[in-house]
Amino acid sequence: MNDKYQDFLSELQNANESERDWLVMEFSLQNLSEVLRQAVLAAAIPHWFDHAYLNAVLGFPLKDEDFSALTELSFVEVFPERGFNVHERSRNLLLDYLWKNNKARYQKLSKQASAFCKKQDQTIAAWRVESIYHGLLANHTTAKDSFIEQGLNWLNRFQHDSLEHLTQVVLAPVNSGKLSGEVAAWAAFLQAQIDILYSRYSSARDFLQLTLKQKNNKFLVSSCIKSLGDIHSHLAEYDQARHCYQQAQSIFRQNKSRSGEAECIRALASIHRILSEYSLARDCYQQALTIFQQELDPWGEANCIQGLGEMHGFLGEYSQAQDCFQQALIINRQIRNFLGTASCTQYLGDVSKNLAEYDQAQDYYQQALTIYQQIKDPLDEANCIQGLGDVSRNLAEYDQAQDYYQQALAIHQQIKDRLGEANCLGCLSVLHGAQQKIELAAITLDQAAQLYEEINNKNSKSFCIGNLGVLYLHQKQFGPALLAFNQAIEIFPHVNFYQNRSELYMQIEDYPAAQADIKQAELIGAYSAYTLLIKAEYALWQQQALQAVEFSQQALAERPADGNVRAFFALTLLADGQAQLARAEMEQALTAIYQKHEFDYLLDALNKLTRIYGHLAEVDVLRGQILNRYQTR
Amino acid sequence: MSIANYKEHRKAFSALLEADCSKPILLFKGESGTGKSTLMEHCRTQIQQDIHQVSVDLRSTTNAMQIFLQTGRRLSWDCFDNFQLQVGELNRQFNINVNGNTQAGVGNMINVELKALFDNTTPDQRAERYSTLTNAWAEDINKLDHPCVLLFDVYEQASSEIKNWIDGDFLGCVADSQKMRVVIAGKSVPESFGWNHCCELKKLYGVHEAEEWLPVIQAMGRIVPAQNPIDFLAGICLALNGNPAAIVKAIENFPRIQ
Repeated sequence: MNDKYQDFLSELQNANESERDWLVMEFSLQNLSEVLRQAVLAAAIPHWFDHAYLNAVLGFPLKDEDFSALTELSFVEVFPERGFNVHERSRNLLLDYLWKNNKARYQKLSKQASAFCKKQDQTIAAWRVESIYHGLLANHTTAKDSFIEQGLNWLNRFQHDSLEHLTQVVLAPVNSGKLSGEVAAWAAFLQAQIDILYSRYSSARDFLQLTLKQKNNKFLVSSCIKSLGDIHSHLAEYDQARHCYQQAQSIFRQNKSRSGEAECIRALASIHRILSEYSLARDCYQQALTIFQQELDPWGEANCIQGLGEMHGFLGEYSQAQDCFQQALIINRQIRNFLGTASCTQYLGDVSKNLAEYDQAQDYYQQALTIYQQIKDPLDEANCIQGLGDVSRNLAEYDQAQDYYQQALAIHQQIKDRLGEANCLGCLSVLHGAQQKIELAAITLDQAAQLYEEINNKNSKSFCIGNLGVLYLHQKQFGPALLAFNQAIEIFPHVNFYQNRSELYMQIEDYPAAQADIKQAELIGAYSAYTLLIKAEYALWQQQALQAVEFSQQALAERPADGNVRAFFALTLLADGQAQLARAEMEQALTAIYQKHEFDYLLDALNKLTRIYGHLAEVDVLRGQILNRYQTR
Repeated sequence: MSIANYKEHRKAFSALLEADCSKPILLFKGESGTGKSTLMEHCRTQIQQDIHQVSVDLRSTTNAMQIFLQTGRRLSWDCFDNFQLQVGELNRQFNINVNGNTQAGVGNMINVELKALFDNTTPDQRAERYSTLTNAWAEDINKLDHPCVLLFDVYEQASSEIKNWIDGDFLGCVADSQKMRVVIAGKSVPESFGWNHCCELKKLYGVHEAEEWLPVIQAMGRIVPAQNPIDFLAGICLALNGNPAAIVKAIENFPRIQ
């Protein structure tokens, strides 16, 4: 038998593992004609080829029989709908060989491939990617800019499948050392954006670290650090996220990229918001807003105004919140941002709900819900339904509220939104409390708290515990209520917990402790209407009726639709001897009071008033008004 | 076509074609050159006439929409009433107007409607619409008279969007279906607990035994260029670590049968 085969086997046996593949390929090439050998090397250049494409890469027409012989080789396979391709492993061997031994030829073949691809329909992503790829390897002067421009274009237009195809194709020569520098850095950066999008944070971080090695392009470096901040934020590593955003912002500023700077400030606002640092978040939104307005960026502008509205809402500054959402709504409608339009409308619903303007709230929620359903946004759809549930609950329409909450809960569970699920359970527990199903309410609250714990959302967990406190307070179980408020404050010292605890202290007549909590609530400064109301209550029980009237009047000015605030105003008027006015105010207030515990509170307060002030004229009339309304509601 | 060994893999595929098949998902996992595509090609040839089949090469498939279109073309759009209704319904829901398009034919119209549905959409919106359409599409396949085998090759090169669709909506539907059978080959393959109970994973480690290559050599019209063919082949197999692509490449340089 022929010695060349024995020699081949011996060579294989003596070679190390990495050399063996090439020895087989070399043996194959040696057994081919010169033309076919050239054709094999040229065929390895593109990701696929047909006869015309291969002719263009080769630079001369290949005879039909040679093309046919090429496609019959074992390492050439059919590429569906496009022709053929050299098998991945063999292609890599051939490309590495050519790059190492004849780089000029590699670049020439790539140049010819690029010229052919550019003549094809560039609206087809596969041809566009192939043109860019060959242009980069041919070292075209414009190729780098085309690559970056196309990548960013696809990223900004949500064409992630095309972008991913481009980055994968470019990263292969980057990994084998054929492309480096800025192209490699951009490929890694763009791939990181895809990874972030698909929640592959570890891989994204690795790509961003690679990008950061390219220190010359400051825009890229700052964008990269901003993206690292986004990853930290997704992973709830807020300190690191904040550090990254601040660092990126500084570089953007040094390089006079105003929109980059504004994006970082807006991201910082989101972190402050997550950490319930509302004043800081508000400042950041304001700063970013100024820049977006200067840069004539209506999307950024609308987002920041909306963010400002949310912060005002969180701080109980409802009138300012309303103004912001109305402004943002106008811009979102102008730029046809349907999601923004829907969320601003939903927030307006939230504000109306918090101001006890329930008809208006329902109207807003229904409008937003319609848009969310049209644009298929199940998460916000569920939140809207939950808002409708809150309104029904506040109106004591408990069956309707239960329906809404169950609908919202089902959507949250279906889309695996655990935060939404926990929020919904929290709402259901408050509903159970209002229905006097105390045990069920406590169990449901506990489920919500566990979910918050699992997703590491401590602030929301504290609200769960705070709500449990309110539930006990309504039941006059002061010990467990106090324990719950203390625990909630320990986790997250929110103003509501101090307000509720001071209410509890007043009920057990520990006025110094109540006063201390009122001072603390004033110090925090948010939800001023409620703070004014508890100050009014404190003054009333301290027999300072005139002061109580003043405070409750101020609270009412902030919440004119709130029946509970107006009813308390009526009590202070009664204590101040303005019986007729008290009666009129109570009459009006009772049209906007719906829930049992609210009536209970008023009756208790009337008794306490009698105890402290003696029997006042019209007390029995007011009691009669309340009982009558309670029975006929 | 001739294929060296992988008997166990071929047997698993035969089981997939059985009427009472309990594991309708078959995964072939192996490194480059271990013969996945050849095995897939072999599987295709084993499918009887009365079983529907659709082959998808994931290198040239950029989104799930193309898979719907390919299935419609292959099996005939008449089988996909439910799917077509759902596409129309979604377009109406999102106020997408595709009237005035002059392209004729059901396939072209669906192509236009699908494209309109997915143009300028966020990944979340796309995923949501894919879910709705996949359910309708699977429902249509479940109504077919005969089983339908879907073969996906080069899984590792699929886009993230397609991988998410395959791993989630698609294989979820297959797990609940009496009619759908799926084979997926790749250097990596889908993983999920959701449908793990109805999935068979077969790894490809190469073909190391010299004897297994004799029928392949014969089918390629070659002879082993050595006094002792088995020893020579064993040397080749050992040196090339049983990698079928490399071994076939060596074999095609053997002398032809005169």
